[in-house]
Amino acid sequence: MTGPTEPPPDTLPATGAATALRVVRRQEEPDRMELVLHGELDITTFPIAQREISSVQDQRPAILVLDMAELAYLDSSGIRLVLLAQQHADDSGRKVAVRLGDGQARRLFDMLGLADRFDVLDAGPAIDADTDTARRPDGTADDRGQGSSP
Amino acid sequence: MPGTEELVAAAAWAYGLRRKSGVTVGRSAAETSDRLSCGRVTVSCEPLPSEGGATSGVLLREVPEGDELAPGDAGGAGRSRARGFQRLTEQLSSAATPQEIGQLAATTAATLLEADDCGVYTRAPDSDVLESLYTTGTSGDAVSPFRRVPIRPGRPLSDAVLTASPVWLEDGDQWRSRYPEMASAGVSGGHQACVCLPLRVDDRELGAVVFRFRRPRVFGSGERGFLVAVASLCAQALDRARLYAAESDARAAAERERDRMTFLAQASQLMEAPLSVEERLQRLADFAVTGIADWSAVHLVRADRVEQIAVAHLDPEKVAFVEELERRYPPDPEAEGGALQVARSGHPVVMTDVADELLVASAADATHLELMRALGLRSAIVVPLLVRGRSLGALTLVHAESGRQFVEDDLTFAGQLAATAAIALDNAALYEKQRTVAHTLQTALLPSELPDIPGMRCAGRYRPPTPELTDVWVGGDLYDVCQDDERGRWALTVADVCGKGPEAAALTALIRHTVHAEVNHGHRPTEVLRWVNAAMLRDNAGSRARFATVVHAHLTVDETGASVRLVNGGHLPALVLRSGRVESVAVAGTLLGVYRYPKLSEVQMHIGPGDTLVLYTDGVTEARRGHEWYGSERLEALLASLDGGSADDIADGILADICRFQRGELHDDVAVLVAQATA
Repeated sequence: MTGPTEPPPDTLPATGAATALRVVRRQEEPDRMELVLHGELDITTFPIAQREISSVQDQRPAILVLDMAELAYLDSSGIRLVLLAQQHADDSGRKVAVRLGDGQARRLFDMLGLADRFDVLDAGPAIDADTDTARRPDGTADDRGQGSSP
Repeated sequence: MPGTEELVAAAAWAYGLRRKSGVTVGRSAAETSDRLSCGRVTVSCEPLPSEGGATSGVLLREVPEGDELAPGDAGGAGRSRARGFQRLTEQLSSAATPQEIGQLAATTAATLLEADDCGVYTRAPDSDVLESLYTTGTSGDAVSPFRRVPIRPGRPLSDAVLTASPVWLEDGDQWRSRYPEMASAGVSGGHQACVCLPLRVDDRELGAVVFRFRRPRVFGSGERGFLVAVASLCAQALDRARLYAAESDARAAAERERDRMTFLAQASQLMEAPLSVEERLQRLADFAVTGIADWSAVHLVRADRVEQIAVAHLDPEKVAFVEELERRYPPDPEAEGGALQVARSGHPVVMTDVADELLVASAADATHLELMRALGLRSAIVVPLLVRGRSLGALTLVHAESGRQFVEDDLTFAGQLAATAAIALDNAALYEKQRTVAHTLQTALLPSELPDIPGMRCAGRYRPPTPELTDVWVGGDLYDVCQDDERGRWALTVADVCGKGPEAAALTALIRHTVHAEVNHGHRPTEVLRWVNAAMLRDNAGSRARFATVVHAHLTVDETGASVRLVNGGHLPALVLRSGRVESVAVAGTLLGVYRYPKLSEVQMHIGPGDTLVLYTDGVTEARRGHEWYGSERLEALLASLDGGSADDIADGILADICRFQRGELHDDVAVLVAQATA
């Protein structure tokens, strides 16, 4: 995790956007690039983040880490961003990992069922599902592999 | 001969000076004024100063013996001529307009040459007419009785121009022998000698000057040289004035162009104001009368009619007058050059002079004519409002009391102004059309009305974002209810497609129709969503840029209420309102449209009479007010407070509350589906 007192080595301010997004680039291991996203990630700041991710992916790191834990806000544009980054990595045989923190990014990933589709580098709080089981009147059934799946 | 040698030496020296001053503006040489006397020949060398003190040339004058300026006289008369020449040079250099130069030539130069009359004529490039700049002694001026003199060979002035060399006529005999046809005119008024000199600088023909004398006069070589020098001086001044005039004209044109561009930019701004078409056109008309016309009017083609939308004049009483006039005498739609005709034809019209005959022709009766005359219309221009080859109407500009006139050249500017208005109108129309299309499309994505489910009451709501907050009106939110006839089941769906606009709409339609089809095939909820996922993957062609979250429930209704099987593909949890308590139905699932094998689970539950199932999109929970979010807790609290209300009450209550929370504005679209088991 990025310490709050640690000065960002390379800060890119969001230009012209009312809602600011900052993307801080860091590289601690040769094969691993990390982008820490600060501020708000929505449809207006999406292009800034995507440009930054593209430029990092052009350097072909074995692992690209997207740290979303510091984001004050993200919506479906943010999800689109990580999905596209993952697709790019999958297509070129590399990996994307994420940090989610314990805020909105974690909640959104959990709700969308994405937490187990990514390498999540930081452990979150207890999975909601555990606490929800009690509320389910009839229990649940994971139907993976069942039925006439197309 | 020593005298000849000295003359050659003097000439060479003088020419050397000229060359020198021509190349390096030899100030020291120019400042000298010397006379070399070599025997019987006098040569004077005078610098010709130009504006700013530099030297424009050197006048070399040779005064042979026996000429008018005899050697004995050369000292006095020569010096006086040199002074006169210098004075003329100075005066010409400070004259700015061709008229001033013409006047100087005809007065100062004529006096210097002891001429009785003088006429100065200019010739526009490629023109075959000389135009009088200035003449003296016009009574009985037989050489040039007109302000405009056609250039024809066989006349002294024309010959001077055509041959580019002076025509010397020393007395009446020479007139009669060389220009017999013109002789009587040439010697009328007691005139005898006459000299016509071309005005040229390099190869630029500027006109000609004629000096006339009331006595015979012998033009010796020195005299001729002096006259040619005076003409040359006038020609140079004229040339300079003409260049200056051209430059001023160009500058004035550039300034006018700049003013017009500013005007167009301001007009364009006016047209973009968030006002009705009528208000914007009235503003444009009002603006036009602040600088480019006394009157202005705008007409629009509407269906098969042309309507006057705006009319403007700085004086409101005049506007009222015209409105009254047009009320009493409606304009003739077929009138030639009228706004109505231009609006239909798309062809502009310039009426430099609004002739009285036109008023007479278009007047319905004597009163009408009188009223139209009272307007004092002087000049008019009518341009169509053209965009994409279509005429939307016409802009009319009229000069009246200002006395100004429109010319063909004004068409360009008026056309640009009209185009500015037309484009703005066209954009407004496209904007309206786009909104209509969006509305139609959105309507097609949602059920026109929900089916009646026996034992249940359903309410669905959709609200697009506030138009001012977005430029997209087709959202990706969906709610729907459909029936599995065979199995007597009902299916509820709420979905949210990532993104907005036509692509999102297409995906929304795909989801809606796939759900319908798969429900009818009797598939259970998880299978329905798998089929939806497969359809989306095919549609996305491998891209993960488009995804959707979907919550989907199948209901089997009986007398005890409804048994519900619910699946959630990454969507917000369904809520169940039961006796004032709200349960969040959290069931894990993967969003759709990205992965081949989404993790999807079903949850089963029962809702009894009076219980309510609420499905919604993130337009509800992510409603935003500054940095504050509406959130799920607020929603659950609201639902609890709505307990006991009907399905419609609850759906409306949710919409009302998020609207209130966002102070009447919606930043995102919102869909809500409420299903309540009836008692």
